[in-house]
Amino acid sequence: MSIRPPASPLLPSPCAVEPAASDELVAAWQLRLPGVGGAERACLLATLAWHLRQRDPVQARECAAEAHAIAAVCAPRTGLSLEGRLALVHGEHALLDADFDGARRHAQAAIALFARAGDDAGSSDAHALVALLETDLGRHPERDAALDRARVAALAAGDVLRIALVEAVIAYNATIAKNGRPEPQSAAALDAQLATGIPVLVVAANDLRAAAAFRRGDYGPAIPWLRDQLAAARACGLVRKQVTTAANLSMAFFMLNDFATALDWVQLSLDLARRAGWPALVGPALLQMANVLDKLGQGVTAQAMLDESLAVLAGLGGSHLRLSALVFKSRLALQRGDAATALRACDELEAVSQGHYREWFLFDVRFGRARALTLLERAAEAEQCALEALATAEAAEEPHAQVNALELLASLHERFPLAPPAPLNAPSAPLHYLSRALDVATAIPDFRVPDPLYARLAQQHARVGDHASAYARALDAAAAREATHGREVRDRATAAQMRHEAERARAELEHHRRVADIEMQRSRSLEAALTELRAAQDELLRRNEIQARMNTEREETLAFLAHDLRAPLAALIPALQDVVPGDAGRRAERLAGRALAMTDRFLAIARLTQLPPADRQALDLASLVDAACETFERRALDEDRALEQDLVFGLAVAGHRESLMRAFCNLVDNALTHSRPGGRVDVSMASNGREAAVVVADDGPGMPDAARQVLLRAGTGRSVFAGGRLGLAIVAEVAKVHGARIEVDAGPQGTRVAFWLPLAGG
Amino acid sequence: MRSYLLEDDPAHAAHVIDSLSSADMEVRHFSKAGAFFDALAESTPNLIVLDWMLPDLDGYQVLRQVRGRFGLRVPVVMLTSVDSEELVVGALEAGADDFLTKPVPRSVLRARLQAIVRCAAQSLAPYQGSLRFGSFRLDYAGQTVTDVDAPEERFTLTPREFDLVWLLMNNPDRFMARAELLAAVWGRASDVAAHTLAQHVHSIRKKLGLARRNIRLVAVYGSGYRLESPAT
Repeated sequence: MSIRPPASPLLPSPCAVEPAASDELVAAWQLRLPGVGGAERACLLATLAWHLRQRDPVQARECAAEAHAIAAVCAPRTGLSLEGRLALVHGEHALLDADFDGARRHAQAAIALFARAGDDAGSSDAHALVALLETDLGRHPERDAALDRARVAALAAGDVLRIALVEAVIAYNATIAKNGRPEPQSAAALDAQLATGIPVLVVAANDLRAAAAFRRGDYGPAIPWLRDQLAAARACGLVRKQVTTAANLSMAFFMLNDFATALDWVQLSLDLARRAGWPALVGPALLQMANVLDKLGQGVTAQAMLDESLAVLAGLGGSHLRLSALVFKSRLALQRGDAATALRACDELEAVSQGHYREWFLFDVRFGRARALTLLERAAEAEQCALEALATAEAAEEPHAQVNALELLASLHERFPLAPPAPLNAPSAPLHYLSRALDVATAIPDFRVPDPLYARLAQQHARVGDHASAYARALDAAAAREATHGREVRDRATAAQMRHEAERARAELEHHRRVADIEMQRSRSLEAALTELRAAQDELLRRNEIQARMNTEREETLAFLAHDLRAPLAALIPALQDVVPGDAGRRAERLAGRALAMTDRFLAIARLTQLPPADRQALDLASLVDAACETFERRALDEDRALEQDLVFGLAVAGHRESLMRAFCNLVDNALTHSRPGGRVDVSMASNGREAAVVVADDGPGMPDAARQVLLRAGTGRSVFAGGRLGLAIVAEVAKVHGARIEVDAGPQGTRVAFWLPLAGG
Repeated sequence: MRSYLLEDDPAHAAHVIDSLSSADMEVRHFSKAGAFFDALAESTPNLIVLDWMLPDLDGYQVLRQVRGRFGLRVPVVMLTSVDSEELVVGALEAGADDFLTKPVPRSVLRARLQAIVRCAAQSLAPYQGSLRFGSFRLDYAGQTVTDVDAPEERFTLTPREFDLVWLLMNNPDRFMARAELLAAVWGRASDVAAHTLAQHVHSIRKKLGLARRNIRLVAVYGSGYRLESPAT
């Protein structure tokens, strides 16, 4: 068997629902829910309803209701499959509510839906639910037929896990039927299942080996298996299994005569059951509790528990559980010597056991009555009932029941003068019945004949003078007692050890649980979100970190330039005006002004590289060029140069105003600087439908190659000082930031620079 | 005339105080916002000059508080040490009447601050009579522009161009926001293309030969314009 890969918490495979899921996975799915819509949400809801059905039934029903409401958004087949899954959730809830008719209706609906959807895995789950129902009702042939169908469907689905689960249940039933002797092949399958470590399989496998051990009376070895089973049931959210397993642990310690530990475990079982609130879980837990309390001498409390259990179970009609409770009630009454109550319990048992259970519990009814009548010394009626009980046990092929009935008959004939049975196969009636009991008991595989049976046989043989037989049976009794005693001692030691281990394990379990709860809380806020976004986030974080570092450095530089360098320069100029007279003062002022201009340019280029795209706006290109030219008009006049503008208003480009302004100013500045004395600079505009250009032409000697390389970013030197051509370097940087292209046309007649920008909205 | 100056740099403060005093303006200087607000609580000045970078509050916060307390009654001029569009536009949008980037020549400082104070109390422009701006003489009734130094020169302005020139020359040295200009010339509800104002300004510059006459009509980023008095 191969272990399937763990399902991703991010992508619950739509409607290919796993039999069980871990708490972490379910939590991750729940976290994902708010962000999911449409068909994906419907599938996620159905998956959650399924996995929450025992963990949190209320939430499961909420999920189911929403999934049902939006199921129409799914593709037809997916929708059918999804509705089938919801029917299963409702079916299992009905079963736990002991609403057997409802459970069957839902299960049948699910079978039909899955068949139409062609969902074999779903069909397998639906038949398995029917099998569970039939098990609860005690209809074994129907149970086995349902399991067969579940197996066929799982095989059709090619679903290894489901096949293993169904086969584990089949093996379980076979083992119980054979008094706890598993088939050799199922033993091998068991080991394979345990080896997978898949919780839901570990539950099934331990169920099988613990039940087999119980059946054989090997309670000690069953305990660690049951503990494993409990842990596994917790891991996959099977609350019902947790309740029954804790009750079985209690039963194991009970059988080892360690009633204190038995009490602890049944308490846990009862707590779990009460939290879930299902009668089908509370009933058996209460029953086991009453059993333990009775043994601990708390007869009154036991009776109260039993009554409470019966009150809970009363709503269950003729369920197996309620009938078991009635059997126990009659036994408790007999223990107290209260024959009347015992008889009433038997009457009630007969009245409520209907259908197939009538036969199932018929022995208990008759045997209980026989014992009660014996107590009342109504010997003839008692014998009649005991014989009927025996016949029932024989018909049902129940050897343990037969032994009990035969022993009771022997006691009756021993105490009361009754007519001996005919034909009599022994020297006396008691011997007749006890010998038959011995025959049946020794035929039970792996059954250890209890020493009291041998002792009574020895006694009866002696009474009829058969001393040889009496001696032989006395030796048997001693050997059995020896074995039983030795076993009892072993069992006690085992129980003590198990109890110690169990306490430690439970403490640890509690601790882990608490840690897990805390972890879960944390994971709910972190893990799912993180898992989903981890890759993206890591990358983002890395980038942000670099960006933040760069920004910090740049901001520090800018702050330095803006304040530390610029402020004193700015303060210097007005101060110089007042303090330093004459040429020296003007020269100092000019130098300070140049230093300031240089700082401003450096600041400008530094700011360019951190222009956020969001700062871009639609700008009228002509308005910008007009503003840029305006700043040079006075200078052009002073230098006796013409600055002509031919602008086209209404062409919008997307850009950053300040940096574009600076670029245009630098272009005009450069053109004025390099135009002939008394020459001219023409600023015009062009457009090709996709782009608009600012064209600055001068009549100078032509731009040198070095300057052109700076402008076209063709050079290798990336120094911002650009060999004294800071202004052109800024133009190139602005162009790059804006996705603009620059054309340079330089010759002896002048230079023409075109700065092409994409039109806004184009 | 009483003005409040909030400026932490002593050299700049001295410069501003000196410039204003020579224009017969009384100046109270504060180097921290706390003391400045205390003084504001006592009396209201005719002008406030705010430095953008202060040790205890930034200029934007001070400006907001001032506007919150006095509305638009007291004109506010921001002083910045960095020539940044973002900063200036932010200040203008937050309600500053004008801004100055340090270093500010004394003559400019004086002219601008006086313009602010002058305009604070009066309406933008009286739509009647005539006015003088440099060598220009404008007659509203006749919608004519003449240069007293060159009477033969003819200026052919469109009605909108004349209105714009009239408005700007009535408010020399003062920052005029785009919205203000558009509302006054084109009307509040008008839907004017973004470039219309710039186009008119460009045209006025050319037609009136402003550069030749040493007059600047400065575009203040995308926010508005300022017509500067002729340099002397």
